[in-house]
Amino acid sequence: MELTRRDEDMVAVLTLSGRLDLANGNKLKDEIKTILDNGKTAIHLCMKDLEFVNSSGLGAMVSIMKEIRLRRGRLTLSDMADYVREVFDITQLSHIFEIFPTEEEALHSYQAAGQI
Amino acid sequence: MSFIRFTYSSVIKSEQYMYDDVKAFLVDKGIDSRLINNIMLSVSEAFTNALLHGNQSDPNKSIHISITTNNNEITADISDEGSGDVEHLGSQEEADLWQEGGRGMMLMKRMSREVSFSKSIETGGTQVTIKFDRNKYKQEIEQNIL
Repeated sequence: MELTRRDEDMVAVLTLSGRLDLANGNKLKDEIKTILDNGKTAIHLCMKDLEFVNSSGLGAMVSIMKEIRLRRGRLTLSDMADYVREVFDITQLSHIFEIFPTEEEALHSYQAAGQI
Repeated sequence: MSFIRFTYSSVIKSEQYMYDDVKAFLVDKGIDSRLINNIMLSVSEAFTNALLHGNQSDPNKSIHISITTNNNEITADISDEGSGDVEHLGSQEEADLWQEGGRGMMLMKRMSREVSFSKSIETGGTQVTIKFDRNKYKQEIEQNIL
């Protein structure tokens, strides 16, 4: 899995590509922890190039979500491939994550909430 | 009918080799891409269980995967070299939403036609057999055309 990061004002935007599984879950968790430790608690994950996620990857996502909530932050997701979205739906995790169709809409939601 | 078999060491890095090998075989056999996604997810879940629970991440123990395809069905067998205790398997309850683990079994069952567990005759460990209906998406495509 590859991760690229950029900042949009107060929001750290991470773009994920490849596979989110047992081998890569910790890499994502470590990157998020670094962002949180540096004081940014608004994090957006763009998943447009994420081709595969399994239960290990979902476990990493839940762990990240719990950590961000603990720090009173906000996590948003966007641009999921149909197949990745299906996995979130089947496991009902789409109920606990804020999922937007596009990154633009996700970032707009931070503006609308006065979080940028 | 086509058949292929792979063997991997019980280290996390094996997961990516397994993914690439199995997917390349399925693509070569002309399997529908949506069905390939379902197979890869199911096999990946069984592989993770074999690595972490069956073989306890012991690099000296192997995980064996065989895939059989015919015109109607695809069967994946994943076996480890663990204790082969299959009594407790298959009855996993659905995970609490905030739980980090416990979704693998449910995903395997949802993505396949049938999942069964047995003690592997060959390795003495656990064997997971997962069956997929090869024509699942073919029928959908034909209905859409009509």
